[in-house]
Amino acid sequence: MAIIQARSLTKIYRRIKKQDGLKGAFKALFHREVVEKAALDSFDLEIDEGECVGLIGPNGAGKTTLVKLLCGIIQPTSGSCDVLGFTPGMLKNEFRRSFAVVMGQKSQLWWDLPASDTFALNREIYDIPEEVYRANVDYFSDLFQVKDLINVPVRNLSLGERMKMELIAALLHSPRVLFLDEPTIGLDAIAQKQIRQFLRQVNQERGVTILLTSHYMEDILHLCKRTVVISSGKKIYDGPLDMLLDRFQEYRVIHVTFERETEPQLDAVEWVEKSPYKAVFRIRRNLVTPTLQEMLSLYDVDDIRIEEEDIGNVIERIYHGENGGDSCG
Amino acid sequence: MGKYLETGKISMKNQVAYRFDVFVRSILPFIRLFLAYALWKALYAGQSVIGGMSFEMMMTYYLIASFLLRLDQSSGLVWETAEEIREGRFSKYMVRPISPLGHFLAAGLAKTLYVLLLVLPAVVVLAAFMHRILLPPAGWMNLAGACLMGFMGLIFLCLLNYLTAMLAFKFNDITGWHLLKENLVEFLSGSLVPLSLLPEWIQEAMRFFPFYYMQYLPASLYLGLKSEEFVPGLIILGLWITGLYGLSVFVYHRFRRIYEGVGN
Repeated sequence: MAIIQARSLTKIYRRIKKQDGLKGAFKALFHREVVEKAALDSFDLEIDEGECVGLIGPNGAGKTTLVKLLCGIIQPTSGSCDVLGFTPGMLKNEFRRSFAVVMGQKSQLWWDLPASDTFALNREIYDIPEEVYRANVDYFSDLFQVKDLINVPVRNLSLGERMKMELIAALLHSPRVLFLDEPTIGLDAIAQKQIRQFLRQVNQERGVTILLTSHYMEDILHLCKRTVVISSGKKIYDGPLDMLLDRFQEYRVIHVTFERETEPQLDAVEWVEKSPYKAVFRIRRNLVTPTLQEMLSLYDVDDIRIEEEDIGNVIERIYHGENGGDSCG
Repeated sequence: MGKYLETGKISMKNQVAYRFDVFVRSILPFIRLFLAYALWKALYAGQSVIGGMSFEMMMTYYLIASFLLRLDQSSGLVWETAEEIREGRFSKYMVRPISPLGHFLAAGLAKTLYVLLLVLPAVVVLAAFMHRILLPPAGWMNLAGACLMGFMGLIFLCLLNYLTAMLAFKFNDITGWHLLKENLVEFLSGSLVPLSLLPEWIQEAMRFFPFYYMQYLPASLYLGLKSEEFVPGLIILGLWITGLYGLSVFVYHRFRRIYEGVGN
């Protein structure tokens, strides 16, 4: 059953446009040109309880706007949304107790104080029973292995450690829904991996519904079975990530090593690397089999490795509307 | 209620995060006291009464009025809150089950308590060694009345500052509004110059404004003056607090609808 619903959700921002230079600055004191930009345009979405959905799109696509609308931080221009039976924009206390949001670049931690103080504040704000609070702090700090750090001032923590504390602070009240906006932004590979493992566990063990926006495809690949692609405020794909990749991943990268010095000549391939004993090339997916057959018949091949195309390139292609695909799933 | 007490507690802890800062702020009240003494001593040179007040009364009035003014720490929170609104960090109060006004009041009063703790040693020194400068209260009832009036004045200022911060939803930059408010409060409350030095008709008009009751009346009550104005003052200040509370809540709910929560 869907616990998050958006129907024809539209958000239009009004921006003031100023002319260049000092003259323009003074002119704007008397006359301001206002331009409108649709950040989200008739957006429909349904998410079931326990799902982990990845929301991807280029900068300015409307991902964060959608998260803010679903949290009630901003109001829709038209359309409606419903989260756990509540209209988010009304900001009812019951609603606010049932979800959490973590924005990669906005902190709820007190900079000069240890994270434990923010945890204690959240215990009071969310009215968390003492035993639940203790159990949750222990569970999450064990999961992240940050027990020794919760009494260290936040300013002395690394970016990755701070994000772990943000996530713990957000989950202490056992929310049913967790909105994550770029939770791994700026983190190193190890911290990213730890956060992904943490989120997977939270989703699978605790059944927390997650809506995740990220620029890192690894996050989406490891966490989300379902992906929503958004571009210029419109949904251009909604379905399993596998299917998305299957549809848009139209190239393969093939690594071939030879038994002797070879100068391979093949049609319809894009050479990435060529050396006496090795060749790497990019080729359309439908040409892989005939090309490899040709190669095996012509040259003494020692080994072949087929790689899927880098997912980042695929997504970029989707954003740019290449492939001419019938995109919405 | 527990969440606001915890907010107050954490705000207080935040105040004492840096040792040097605490040290400097502990010393400052003594320096300020000495400077005020030197200034008023110079002004009273060659005359025993100014505006009907003796040097001792003037010093006592000045110390109490400026003490009350300094107790209001919520004006610093105006910038913090307005900045949070401008930069989209205000969202953290919206997504958690906490009232932004309650949070603001709790944080403001916690800061006040902290200042009170810092100023207390200076008051003790003053009372013990310089009792000819700081006159004792005219009576316990006068002291209680002055404290109650001072506390209500603080609540009023907190609400006024919260309302000023909320204007950031609409205007983004509230520097102009804040400056306007600061100057008005300073003048109308009598902390710039005792209201008794102003023309009679201005003093009469001031009685309908809350500022009159925030520093001037508590200081006067302490000195045993204007006791008859205590009850009307309580009513007028109470009405202003109620009105401002309603306006603050209304403005927040109205203006939050245009909030964009910029950034990720």
